[in-house]
Amino acid sequence: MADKVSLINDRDQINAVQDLIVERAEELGFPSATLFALRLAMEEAIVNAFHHGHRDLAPETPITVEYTLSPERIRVAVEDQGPGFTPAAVPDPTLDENLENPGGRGLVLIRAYMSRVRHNDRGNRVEMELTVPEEL
Amino acid sequence: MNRHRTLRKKGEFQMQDAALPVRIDSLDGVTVLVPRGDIDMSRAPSFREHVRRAINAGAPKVVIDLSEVEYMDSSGLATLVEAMRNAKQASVALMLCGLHQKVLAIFEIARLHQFFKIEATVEDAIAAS
Repeated sequence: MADKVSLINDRDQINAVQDLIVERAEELGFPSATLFALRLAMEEAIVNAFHHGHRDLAPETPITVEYTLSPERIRVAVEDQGPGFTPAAVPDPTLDENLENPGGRGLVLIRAYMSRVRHNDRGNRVEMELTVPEEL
Repeated sequence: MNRHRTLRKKGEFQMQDAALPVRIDSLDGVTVLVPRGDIDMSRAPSFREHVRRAINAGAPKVVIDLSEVEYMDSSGLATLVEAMRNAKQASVALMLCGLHQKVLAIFEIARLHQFFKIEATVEDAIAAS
């Protein structure tokens, strides 16, 4: 069963939850590259939830973060209370015409670093999974 | 105070302030910025201000040495893209150097390694045209 926490847009709270999850992953023996990827993906997902998902909501509106960790797999889900978005409609920041746009790279980084990424139909929840690569 | 912990090489963590320490050197008329620590959402505004001042100070070239930055997320990328745009408008040559492999990987995923001029060392960046 997943652990679940509510977070408001407070940097100390956000960092505390991220650190807790990264520390657990570290205790399970995940390598530093995985810890880097995990922290990066959580940061991008949480920032997206507050900055985009909650853009029109009261500042104290919380998001939820659910997480489960095992030696083989890390799952983190971030859900906001906003109206949701359509991931396919987000401009691709890696296209030549978008390279000079400052923002919009969070989703690309999440997809690059996570083994699996899934959005719910409403588009207000992202589920991310990191698995240990199988040895050849 | 806004504080957070950053991933360390040894897998340890260290508390850091939201203000990003940035050393500023002047070598052969080139301004060299050396930020130290993580560049994330909480520290990107501080970094942005340092870079903005350097670009507006009048030096023909500004080098950002990222050799002491071991973590950066999309807020750091956004800050640097904005800096490059500002540098172009001000006719300042902006170059990056010293990127750690993990940080360089983020640039490559975002295809920004094609947008920035990136050199291995400060000396290379200063010598590059």
